[in-house]
Amino acid sequence: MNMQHTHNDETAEQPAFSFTNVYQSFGTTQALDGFNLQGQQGRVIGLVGRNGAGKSSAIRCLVGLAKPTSGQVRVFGQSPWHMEPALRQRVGYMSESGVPILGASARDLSAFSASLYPHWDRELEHRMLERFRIDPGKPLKKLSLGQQRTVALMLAICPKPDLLVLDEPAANLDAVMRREFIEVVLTLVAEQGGTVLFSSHILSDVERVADRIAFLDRGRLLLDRDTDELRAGVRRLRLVFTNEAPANFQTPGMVAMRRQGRELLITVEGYQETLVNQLAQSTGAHVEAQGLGLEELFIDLLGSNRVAA
Amino acid sequence: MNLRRILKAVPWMFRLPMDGSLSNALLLFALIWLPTMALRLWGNLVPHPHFNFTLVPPALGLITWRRQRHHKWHFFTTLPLRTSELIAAAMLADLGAVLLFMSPMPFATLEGYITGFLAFWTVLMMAGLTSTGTWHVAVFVLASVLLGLVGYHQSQLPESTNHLLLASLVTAVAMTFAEVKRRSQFDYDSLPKKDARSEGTIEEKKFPSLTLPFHALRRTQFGMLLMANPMIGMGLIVLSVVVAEPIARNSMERSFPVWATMLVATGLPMFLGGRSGEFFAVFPMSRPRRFGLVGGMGLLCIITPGLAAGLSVVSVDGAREKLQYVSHHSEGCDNTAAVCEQRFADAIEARSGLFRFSFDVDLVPSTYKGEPAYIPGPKAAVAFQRATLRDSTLLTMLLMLTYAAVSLIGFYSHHGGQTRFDRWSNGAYAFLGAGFVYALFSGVSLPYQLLGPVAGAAAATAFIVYRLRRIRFSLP
Repeated sequence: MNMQHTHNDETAEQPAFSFTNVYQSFGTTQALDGFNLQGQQGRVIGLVGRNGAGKSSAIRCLVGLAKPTSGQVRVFGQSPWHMEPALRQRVGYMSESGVPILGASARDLSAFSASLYPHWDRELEHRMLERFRIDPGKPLKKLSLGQQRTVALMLAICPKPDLLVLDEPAANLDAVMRREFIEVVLTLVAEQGGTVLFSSHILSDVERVADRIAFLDRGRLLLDRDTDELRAGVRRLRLVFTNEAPANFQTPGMVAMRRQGRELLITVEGYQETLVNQLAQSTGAHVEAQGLGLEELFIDLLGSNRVAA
Repeated sequence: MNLRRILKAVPWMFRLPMDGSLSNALLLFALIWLPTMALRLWGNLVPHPHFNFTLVPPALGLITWRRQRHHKWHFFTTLPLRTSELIAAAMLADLGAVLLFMSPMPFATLEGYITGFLAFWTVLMMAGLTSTGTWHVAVFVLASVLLGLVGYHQSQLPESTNHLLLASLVTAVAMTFAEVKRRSQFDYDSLPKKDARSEGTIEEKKFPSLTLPFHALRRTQFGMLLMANPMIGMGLIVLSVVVAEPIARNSMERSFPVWATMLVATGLPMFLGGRSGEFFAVFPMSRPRRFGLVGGMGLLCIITPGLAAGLSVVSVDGAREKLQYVSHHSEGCDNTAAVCEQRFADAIEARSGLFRFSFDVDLVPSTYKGEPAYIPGPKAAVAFQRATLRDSTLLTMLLMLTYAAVSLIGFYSHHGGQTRFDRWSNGAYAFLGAGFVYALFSGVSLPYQLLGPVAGAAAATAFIVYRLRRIRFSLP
């Protein structure tokens, strides 16, 4: 997020991070199964998937906590597994479990972290502590869960990283706290720019923050679209037939289908307005297009109604 | 590799597995010490206690320690450190842990184990690995009582007191240094200052630096007092609670009478005792030739807390300023009355420590750098005073009672003053004294917490080396 870094200009065309055909397995479990994703600089990318989809595994590979079994992961062109301190200073990371040292205070932790990062933002640190009313001298274990996660976020964001990686940043927070937390992330991103990758299974959060969303399922990238494009290009079509709806229905861009008697509900990606007429003519059914929320899309994409690609 | 980065990471590597958690510390204790003690208590099952079965529990403790760190490793891995630097820091932390966990090895007696536990706990406290809250103090008290019982059984306790005095002196220096450092890190200019007339513009006056050495000394001397002579401490406590606090509560401005009363009333028994030669006979410092040392130290113990109390705590103005200092510490000034009130209340409650009481918080409107601001009113200041006095006196009283009990047991067990405390236990106990006082009364920052592991490692190394030499020389 530190836009003052000169290397940003030098590498403006380079993606902030990339996964290329990444596999990772733990025993018989395949956490990542040919995962591909690129994060262009300056984007906020939401990584969405069900529990166990491989979100955290991908993130752990990205920040150098895990080594892929095969494939290539790059952060600013370098392997995160062999990241030099200078590159690590450009990457902020907040893990799903937050800060592991609950006996330490925010002040201790920030003093330690600040000593390792050249661009540590003291003002931002104070703002965050103030906003969430965190006593910097109190051990984390005496703070609320939301405050603990704020400290974790603070440690990730105050180094002013060029790439900020947040693994389920608002997990286990109540709705109000989550909203406030996301607002902080939004504000900071708007203020400082930089690339953000964050994982979540709370879709409303992702929709509000991300300008690009990547759906991950069983270790694979299922869909990767700009949020606006996703909103505009995904529709649910309701086809009402005069007789029983066909069991084997096919149309380009269809990602999910559900049959209920004479009615067929299909979810299509890359929707064009002409599609309604085309389908009405080709099937003889009455066709209606309905808008689709991200949550419904998520369920259609990752649920039992999904159509195999 | 960057040595500075490595050294920065070492204390965190060390404290990470413990996580400031009592349960973790207890788990380690259980793994390391209890089996060892059980083996010793079992009898002569272990042919040579230093090199066989007794190695197992510390090794288990070390494994646990490493495993816990491993689970939280991501904290370090994502920091801008080279892998080689991380490994070097981890090795140094491991070295400290090995020395710490192995430090009980030279103790061959039961009281040695208990003393060792106290030393072990002290190291945890010093390293900031465990807090100095109620439960931790309770564990300490329990262990001390246990030590007293063993002392009663083995007639070996009182000799250690002179080591404690020495340890306390060392501690005094360390603590003063730490306190100065702690204060120097505070941004005084950001502090909203008290106003002269309780209204109007807050003066841009600095927090009185005069009280700094007194604070350090007060804390230290309470500790020294506690270690050196429980009776003096008891006198101080009784007077603090019975005399000083009511005076403070009713007329906070009377700082001179408070500390003067404390000084005279607590000093009197000591002088009386010194003259008669009998008073001290019932306490650990029973040998006449030590009266001078004890008397001098005791006097110092009494004067400095009294002075410190009088100068820095007891007046309303002082309390108000201190309350502002504590409540606004590093947070700057907040203009909202509700926030100020809450912050002052929190500061008072935090200061009241183990014993809570009801109090009122009032605010006086004022300004700070042209902006509306609030400072604590007289009620809040008085409440803070009460909390401060209770905090200091009651905590000290609790500990004092423990040591008094231990000492009395020691006296009744030593049969004429001839004692022979194992030298290892003496050393550990001295170390314990220093560490305990240091940890209990200091709110030091991270670099100083490193002193704990370093001191622990140094002490343990010295013990082990010395013990090994002794063993080698004693071989046929």
